[in-house]
Amino acid sequence: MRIRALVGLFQLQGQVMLSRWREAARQKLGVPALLAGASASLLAGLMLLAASAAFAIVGTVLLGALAEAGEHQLGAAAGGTMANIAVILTGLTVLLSDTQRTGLDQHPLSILPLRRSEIVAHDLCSILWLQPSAFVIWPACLALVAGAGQSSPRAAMLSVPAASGTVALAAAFALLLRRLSTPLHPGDETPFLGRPLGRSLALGLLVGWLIMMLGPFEQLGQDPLSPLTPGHWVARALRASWAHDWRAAMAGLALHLVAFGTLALAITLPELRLPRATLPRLRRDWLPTGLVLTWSLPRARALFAQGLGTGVLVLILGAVLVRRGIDTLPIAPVTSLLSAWLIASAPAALMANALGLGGRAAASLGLTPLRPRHLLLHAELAIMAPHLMALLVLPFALSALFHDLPSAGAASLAGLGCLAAGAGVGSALSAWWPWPAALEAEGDPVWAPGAARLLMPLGQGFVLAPVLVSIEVAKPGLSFSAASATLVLGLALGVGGWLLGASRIAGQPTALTEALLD
Amino acid sequence: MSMAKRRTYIATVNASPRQDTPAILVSGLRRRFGAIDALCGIDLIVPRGSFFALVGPNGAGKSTTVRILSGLISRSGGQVRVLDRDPETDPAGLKQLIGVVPDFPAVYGELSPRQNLMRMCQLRGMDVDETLRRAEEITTALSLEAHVDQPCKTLSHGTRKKAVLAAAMIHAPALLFLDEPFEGIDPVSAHTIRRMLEQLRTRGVTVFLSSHVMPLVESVATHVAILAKGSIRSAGTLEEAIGSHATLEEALLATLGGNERLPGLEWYQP
Repeated sequence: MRIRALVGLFQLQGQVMLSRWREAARQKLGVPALLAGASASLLAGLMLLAASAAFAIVGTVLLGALAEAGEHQLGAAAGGTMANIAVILTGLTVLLSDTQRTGLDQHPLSILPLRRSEIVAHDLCSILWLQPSAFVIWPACLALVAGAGQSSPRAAMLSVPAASGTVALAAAFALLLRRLSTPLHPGDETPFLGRPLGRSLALGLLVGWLIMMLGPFEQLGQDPLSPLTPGHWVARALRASWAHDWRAAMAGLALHLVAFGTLALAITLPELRLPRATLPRLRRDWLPTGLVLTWSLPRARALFAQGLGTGVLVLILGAVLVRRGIDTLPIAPVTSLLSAWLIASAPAALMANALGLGGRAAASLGLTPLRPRHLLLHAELAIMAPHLMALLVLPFALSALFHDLPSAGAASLAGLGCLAAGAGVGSALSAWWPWPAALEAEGDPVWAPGAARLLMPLGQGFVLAPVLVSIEVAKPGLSFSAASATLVLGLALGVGGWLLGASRIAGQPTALTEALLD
Repeated sequence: MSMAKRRTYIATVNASPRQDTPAILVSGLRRRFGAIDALCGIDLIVPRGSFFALVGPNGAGKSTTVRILSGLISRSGGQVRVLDRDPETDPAGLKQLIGVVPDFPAVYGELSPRQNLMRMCQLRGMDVDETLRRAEEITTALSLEAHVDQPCKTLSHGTRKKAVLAAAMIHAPALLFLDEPFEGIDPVSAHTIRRMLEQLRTRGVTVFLSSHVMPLVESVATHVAILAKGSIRSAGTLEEAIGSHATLEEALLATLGGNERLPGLEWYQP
């Protein structure tokens, strides 16, 4: 890869970004539209954080607890293993994701004398400009969280550069995989990973990685990690950080960066799209079709894998810890953090998605004989199901691990309530205040227009405030009655918002569709 | 092509680079998309300094040929040499020497034509001052002055096509690939572009053009190949292609056969 080309590509993406900003600044949007766009961006940022933070929080807390118990060796091995799992999940996510229809031959850069590695670098530059938060704001914010949690903010801040570097490497890995799985031509259905040889190689690599990763579980605590896996380096970093008294702040952060960087970037790269071709299937049976649609969303599959993987990992770790007789870990911080995370992120995540629900339902209305209520519910379920999986697996896995069922159960109930409330409020908002206001090339509504998307990185920078507030509020732990009340209230808001939104769509479908097409 | 002739042809393709070799040598080129054969073993010789037109109906394989020859996509079989390079093994090296106007808008929509030109030249390693000078001149020549600072996505199809043409020419390549360059271009601009291309040809630039606008092809091309259903039906100089017919369009219809069974559409009674 040539440095000159790299600099040129970085500048090119910067100029593209500046042009978009200029265009956004020239747009004369009304205050309501601006507010809606800003809120959609802010909430979308929260959604991304919620999707990625679960792994990090669990890892941070677990490793912190192991450090408290003096189990540094075990913590290092566990951290390394978790890093390996994250990388494998990323690989699976990218492999399972829909490949982009636009191949390299349709890109403006395709006519320039650039090497394949430089095209990948171009993608990375694009992410750097479009998602600066992923490289600067999130690592810094999460470093602060980890540092504050372990009373070592200095150590946490010191690790930010390393954090950004790890994210960049992880992103490059994900992008490379995506490029390999992208057909070179729209009509070419045999990209490298689509060919039998490519698939066999990819599968072999993943299986090999899995074996290497699972092998160390046999002998946790005996420095067993293979030097070929990323986990080895994470484990080494953990041991080094503990040796310098950086304690679990560095450990949690390093873990987070590998997990978040690989997962979140791979998740956010493919666009969330409602496959238009599958809409006619809704005519037959909306529930099975809804499930198929849900699974067809790359984000849904990624979140499912993330939730499932985290839960399985925690269960395995729990079994190992119990077998080794370590059952006196501090439980209160675990529950508090989980509660805080659920409360802070669940409604935001759902509202962000739900802002586009009305538009989706209205757009589908003309294509299907279904009633608006069913369409809206289908859209809600399609968005909620993966979150539900990710949110439920975590607390219950932790409850199995720490034998603290009431606390984790209360956290889950509160989370469910927030989930329902978010969906309801979002549905009503999406119907009364239709947003998005544009259709993608395929005719699918986008969930935030260009100008609003630009605000997303800014919004992401502020997501930490409610999380920190929630942590403080939830520190004493969440009582069962408060959790139940949250659930009931949330369900009421959910049902109310759903019915309200559906009535609006039924009453003014044309107006909504026109708003989409403006 | 006979077997003996074909062997000679392939030997020429595999020979070491020479200045007097043709700009493009193609032998038995095949491309398959799934179950569809887009190109079924075509052979082409494009002399240096010629204006070579690849003509044929929609779906004949013209764009696929241009894409393969310019290194945008790979081939399924056959031999290809473009300026003594293999587009598949050295696409970056080849793209340094050629200019391409593909069948898609190969510019960044967010950037203006001027910004696109500047950035593309930067990625080609060109000097900034020289780029500015050339950009000024080429945008004037293509009547782009009024739009040179507008984002490309706000421009009309024809104007955007002119911006892509400017990007393909600004580094003064020895070989230009133009896929339907006159599509969506107004008659005045088409005339300007045509004159510009003729001027370039007199300076030794090779132009490979795909089009189905026969009068325009007839007015500029020195060599013509007729492509249909992935196969070359005839190839040679313009005069050879026209033969005894009055125009190239007539020759094309005679080669491919027109649709004689025109339906009456009796139901169409407004």
